[in-house]
Amino acid sequence: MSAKTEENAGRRAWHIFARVFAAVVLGYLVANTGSVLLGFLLPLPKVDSVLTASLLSFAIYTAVIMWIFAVKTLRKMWLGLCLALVVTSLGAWLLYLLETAA
Amino acid sequence: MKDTFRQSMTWLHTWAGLVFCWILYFMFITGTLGYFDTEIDRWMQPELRTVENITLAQSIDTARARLESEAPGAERWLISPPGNRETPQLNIFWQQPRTEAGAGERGEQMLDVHSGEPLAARETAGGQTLYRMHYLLHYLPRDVGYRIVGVITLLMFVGLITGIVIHKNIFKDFFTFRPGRRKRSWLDIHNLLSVATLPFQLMITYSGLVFVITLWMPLVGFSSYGFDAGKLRAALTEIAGQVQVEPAGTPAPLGSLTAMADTAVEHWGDSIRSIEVKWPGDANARVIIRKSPQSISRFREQLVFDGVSGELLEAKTAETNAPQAVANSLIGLHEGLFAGPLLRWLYFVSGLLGAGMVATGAIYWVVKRRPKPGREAVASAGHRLVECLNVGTIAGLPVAIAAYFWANRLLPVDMAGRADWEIHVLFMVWLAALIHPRLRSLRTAWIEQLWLGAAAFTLLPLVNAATTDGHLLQSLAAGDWLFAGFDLTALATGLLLGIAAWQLGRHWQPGPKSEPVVLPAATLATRRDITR
Amino acid sequence: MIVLASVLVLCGSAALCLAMKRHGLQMMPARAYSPALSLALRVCGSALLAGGAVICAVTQGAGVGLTTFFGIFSMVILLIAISLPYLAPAKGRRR
Repeated sequence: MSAKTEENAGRRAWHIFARVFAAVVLGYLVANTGSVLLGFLLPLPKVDSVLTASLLSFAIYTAVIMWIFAVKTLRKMWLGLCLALVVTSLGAWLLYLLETAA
Repeated sequence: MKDTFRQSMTWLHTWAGLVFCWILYFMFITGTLGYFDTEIDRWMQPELRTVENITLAQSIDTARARLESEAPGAERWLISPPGNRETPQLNIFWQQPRTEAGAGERGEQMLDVHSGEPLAARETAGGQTLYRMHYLLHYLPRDVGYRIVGVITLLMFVGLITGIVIHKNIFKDFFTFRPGRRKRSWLDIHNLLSVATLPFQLMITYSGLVFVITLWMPLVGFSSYGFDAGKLRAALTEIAGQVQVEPAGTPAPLGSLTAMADTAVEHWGDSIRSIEVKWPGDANARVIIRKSPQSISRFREQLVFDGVSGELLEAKTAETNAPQAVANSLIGLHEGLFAGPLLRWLYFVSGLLGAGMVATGAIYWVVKRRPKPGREAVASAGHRLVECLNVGTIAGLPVAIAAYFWANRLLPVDMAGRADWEIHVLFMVWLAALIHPRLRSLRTAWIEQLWLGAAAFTLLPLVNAATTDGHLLQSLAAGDWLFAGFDLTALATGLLLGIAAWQLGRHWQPGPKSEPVVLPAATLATRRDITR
Repeated sequence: MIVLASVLVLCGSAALCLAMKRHGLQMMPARAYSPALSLALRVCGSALLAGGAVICAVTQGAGVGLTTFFGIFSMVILLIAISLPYLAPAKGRRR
């Protein structure tokens, strides 16, 4: 029985570490790239949309952190974060290219 | 994370809240004292007399003469006239031009308006250092402290939002307080303090985050301008409304500052906050006169003059840019510079209640997990650590703050490094408070520290009377609300700490089996009602 | 004016508090409390609160005024919540 509780304790520790790591590293990156994307998407003059996106960036990060700890499985968490990272970075990059090309 | 959304968010709220709660408490206490930073400065330099009936022209002339002798070739001068809350004395500031080594050297002085000489007063850390510590911490390089504070602020914001999300019945429990029940009462108080001051807490936290945007979320602006820092800086400077001008290189005498100030007075009446001179002595000199804060925004109305001719070039009366207005409002609300006496006290009490919110959360965590007596009566190492940190910080930091003020009065006036030593005393006492529970038991530590804090604050007006040539009764008679207010607040703090110490002493005394705190029968009825 | 605003906020909050079943029953005998009374208290309370907010906004400007209003409101909530257990009339065993 004690071997099982040790195993459970180990798994729990890994879960906590994984989520905290995801929040501190991946979540932070997603918040940044998401805000950059938002800056490009907002239909405002550049300076205004950059400021607005900056002001919202911490709200975005908080929402991401809450999602990371709410999502049911670790697998969904990793997948979701990687997807978010890819979509926001690519989206921002594309919009940036479009803007500089125009 | 856990089985249900609410359980996961409870876990997140608990740990985001707990891990740095003692530093957060420190930030709350020092930041709250920061709302009275200049008042505390003045209490800590009692030699300085208030400025009597000085005209604006006198101040400007004195300041200009001093600046011309101290910093003739400066990049900027700043003159802050006396007689207002932020600069009760005449203040001058200068910055030398930027060199290869970096930003130019800065200098600052408080001047006696009549003699033009710097004011002589005991060197003190003052209220300004307390205020700065709340966002820079201490003993750390500026950048490091600032970054840490940014992280902790984000955790606080996560704590606030998760707290709102997990609070069942946030409206039903709005006025709910059930004293006399061990665990539930602490949760009730934690909820009550948080929900009642929720507008303040949300504002103070999110606006605190706004300060660290460029530090912690640099990518947003940076990449949008194609990673060109120059373009970004130019854009931001433009919307911030800052006046940028390069020196012409040809010398030209600076025009009459008093004449320009008169024009400002025509526009605004008596509300001049500062007079800035860019490139004094140069042909391209600019004089920017700023108005005192009137609204929640940190934006200041400005009049921009040609420094040589005195011609009014531009009048900036309002922000033109909506997101900038939002950012300025948030920052303005956080700093509260616009606040009059009533609002300033409301800020102060709200800040202390915020500290209480953090403290009751930490206490509830301890109380909830306290092992039941009898069974495995040994608490885990983590639990004991939190209990030690709790008493040393929640009760200990107030003692340290009192010690700081005692040090200001008791350290020799001409001691070298006096200002630093005042702060060292604060931290030494705090450290002692953190070690204290290891030497005595936890309960004794709580009670002793609360009594010590009560004594230290209550005796502070006496220390003031003994070491300066004024005292509370004199201040009250003279209508000197600064010194009287400080002494009275110290007494009130002492009283509150004393009440807490006394209640705790009674609560923990081994006594009859019945509840040590007398319960009005109404709460018995309420308890039944709520558990239905 | 601020004093007036504070009084309005205090009365309004007290009314809203009593409109809640939990606290209404704390403070008055069960037969005195009814849904109609609760509604009336709610309406009056909201009106008084709004009045306090308006006075603050009008005398000090929207931004500063509302900031002051929320500050006063916070203090009032705490005052009421902490006083309630001690002000509520002692009751015997109920029902």
